[in-house]
Amino acid sequence: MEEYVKTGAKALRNIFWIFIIAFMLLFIYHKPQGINTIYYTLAFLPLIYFAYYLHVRLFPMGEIQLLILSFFLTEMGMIMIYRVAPYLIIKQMIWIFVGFILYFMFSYISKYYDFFYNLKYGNYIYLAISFILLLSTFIFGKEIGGAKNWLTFGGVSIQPAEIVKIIYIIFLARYLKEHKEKKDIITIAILTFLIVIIFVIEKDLGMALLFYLTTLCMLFVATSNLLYTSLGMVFLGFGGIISYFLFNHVRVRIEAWLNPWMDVPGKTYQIVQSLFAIGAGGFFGTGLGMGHPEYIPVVASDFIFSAISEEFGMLGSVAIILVYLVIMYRGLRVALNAEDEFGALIAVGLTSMFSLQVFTIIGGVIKFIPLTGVTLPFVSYGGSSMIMSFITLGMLNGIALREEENVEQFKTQY
Amino acid sequence: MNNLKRNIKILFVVFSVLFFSLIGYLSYFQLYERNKLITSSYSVYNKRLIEQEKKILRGSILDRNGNILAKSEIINNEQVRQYPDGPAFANVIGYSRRIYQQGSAGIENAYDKELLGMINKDPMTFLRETILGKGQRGDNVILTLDKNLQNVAYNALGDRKGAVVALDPKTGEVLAMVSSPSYDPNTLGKNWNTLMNSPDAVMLNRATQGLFPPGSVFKIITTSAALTYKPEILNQIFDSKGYIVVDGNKINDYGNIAYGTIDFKKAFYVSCNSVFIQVGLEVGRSNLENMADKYGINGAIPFDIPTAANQFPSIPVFGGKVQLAESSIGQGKILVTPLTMALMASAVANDGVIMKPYLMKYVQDPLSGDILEKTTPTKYLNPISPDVANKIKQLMVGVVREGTGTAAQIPGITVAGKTGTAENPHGKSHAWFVCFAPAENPKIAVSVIVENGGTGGDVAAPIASEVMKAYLSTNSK
Repeated sequence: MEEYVKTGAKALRNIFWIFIIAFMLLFIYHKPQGINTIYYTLAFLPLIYFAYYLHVRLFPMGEIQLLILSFFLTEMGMIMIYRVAPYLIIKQMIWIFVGFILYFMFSYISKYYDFFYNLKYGNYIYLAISFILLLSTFIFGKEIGGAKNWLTFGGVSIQPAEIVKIIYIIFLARYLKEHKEKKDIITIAILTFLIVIIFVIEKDLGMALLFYLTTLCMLFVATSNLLYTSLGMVFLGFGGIISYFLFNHVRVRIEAWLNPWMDVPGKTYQIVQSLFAIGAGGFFGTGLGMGHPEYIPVVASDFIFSAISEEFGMLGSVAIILVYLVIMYRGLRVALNAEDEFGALIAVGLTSMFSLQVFTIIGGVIKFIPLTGVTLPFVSYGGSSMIMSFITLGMLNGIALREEENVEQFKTQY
Repeated sequence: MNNLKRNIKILFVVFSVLFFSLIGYLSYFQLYERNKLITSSYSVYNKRLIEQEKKILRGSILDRNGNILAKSEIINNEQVRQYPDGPAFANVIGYSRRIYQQGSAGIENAYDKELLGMINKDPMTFLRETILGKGQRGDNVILTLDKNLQNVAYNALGDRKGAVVALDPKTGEVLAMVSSPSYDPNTLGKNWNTLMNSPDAVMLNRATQGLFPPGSVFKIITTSAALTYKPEILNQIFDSKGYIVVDGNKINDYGNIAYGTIDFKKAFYVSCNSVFIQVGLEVGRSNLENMADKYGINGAIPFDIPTAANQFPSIPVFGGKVQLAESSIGQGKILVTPLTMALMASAVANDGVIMKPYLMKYVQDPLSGDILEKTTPTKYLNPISPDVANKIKQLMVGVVREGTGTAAQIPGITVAGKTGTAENPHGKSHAWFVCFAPAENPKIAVSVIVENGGTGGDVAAPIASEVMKAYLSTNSK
């Protein structure tokens, strides 16, 4: 316990230094957007210190590692966002702040996750909420960035899909704990298919892929049945081929992946600019402020990884990937140590969703897999993504806390 | 519960593999794809290159003697690209994005990376150069061209349409490459639309991308085929009636001159079509095709700047007699570039070996003087044996001494040449002349074409003579 705090403080110190050096460089190279921006930006440091301190006091047995890793990622995001679009930095700070609050709230709530299990008619309630939220975008939805999956309330846009992510994971965990028979699997297959088809019609291919693969991961962990999993992968292949012929936007994505040179000024402009940026960075990067990440479209959200690759080089981008790897490891560790199967499945679902999202967007911008528009958790600019990333982390923390506290009780009893 | 734990561990392995595959692909990208990306022609979409070009003083382009052909200067805080000998070099040197925003051409395009100083720059060298203030300059490209010779050739063509190619037959170095009419690259940006739409195609490099029927200069290849595959033909005595009938088609000799009985040597000197058609028919289609192929008349010549593909359409086995007859005198469907014809002459000059033609002699760092890239002469084709080459050389010497090419004579120097007058569907004949000198120890091979100029002996030969004279007066050793 003492060791944890010490290593944590050390990591925090490094995060402070990176922040100060990076922003000093940026303030010198690029004129700051007024003195207020500097104050707001610098407020990040006391904010993360306060969050850290609160965490140590409130949850001495909590997953402080996850929080510290998120500090580093949000910091890299802040640096790059300030670099490419300084006017977004204050909004991003607000999202981070809201994210921290929700992190603590969900840490508390998730400690009592058995409530979600014991809720009467739980399955129906979760499904109803999920489908109402998803279908609401058809009626009230607004198209942002080519996908019609946003709801707007008084100037604030949210992506209902981000909320459905978590509700659906809770539903699956609850359902799969009890139901492992063939007919139950078919029920899940049908439900997942419905959700995926909604996303495909809304042109949100990234989300479709995430839901599908997360379901497969949870199915495998819950049933240990390799047949279902491999069948799922086969269906994914078929589904891909069918939607290639059925939907124009799917075809465009796959063609752009196979031959990014076919229409550089048009359809493949984004991916080609991303590749130019990554190539310009090379192994060591151009150095912060020395590259031209501003040539990449939507660089602050979907393509922020390309901007990091350009200025911090392959070394910097691999560091980011490794941080995600550690988060994935800590997440599955929470699942491994969880008190019961329900908690374990929720942790598996959250971690899978998170890791698959990281893989999908990084793989997309480096042209390893077809590009689908999802955000890079904690790093990309955007409220929905930032808040949901912190809620995911908070829930993992809560599940871990429950286990740790029960162990403590166990110790004191005997 | 135990199954659950095992499954979670398997999931961990799966996700780890996914993440490490990302790292693996990134490494692969940086090691292999990256260079392809930077050098590919798609890099025009990479605004970083243009950005970099603004920061770097573009390197100069120089001729073989160190004369400046293109340089960059800072005028009023802005980099300006200058071409001192404008039109004479325009179609070879081309232009950079600095002159015309939308793109670049010629040497400026082919050696863009070098001129921007982007080759052989590993991170450490780059860092060192940045600290020493060296990174701000591109490298110089030194060409094989000779500025004086280029100007002589350009002036000799005058306002006629055509091209001149002069090269060193022993190395393949291109000494002069002129295309006329030309344009002034210094004012290209302003005149772009007029130049692009000009009916005379001023922006076409005729020397490498103009395709013309070769006419009688192709008889060198017919003779090569005859000497290689059916050497006994040359001892025959032919009958010249001023025309010949092939499969019912009458093909006339130039001016319908009937020489009566004539030997092969004389026929070559006077370029008698009816004799060469008889020779071609006896040599046969596959032998002629084969020899044309050996001379590189079946595609594009590899070169520093783009070249058009030479064409020798294959002759059908049945019913191809007329096409074979036309082909053996360089008419019909054969199309070649002036560069190809200069290479053909250089094969005869260089004991049957064609050296790979090139324009870039070396690339030099202007500050340290280090040679960063260098072209070494390499063999390209070997169409004929030294013995055959020597026999054709004697025939070509005769053409200039007493045949159709007397206008190319230079006092005190033996010149070997061959005239051509290529009929074409678009007006007057094209005038060709290919030659090399001195015949005993060839130093320069030249091909000249004047579009719709008339006969090769009258129009093209004097131009070639002037070019050879200018070069040999300074390079006689």
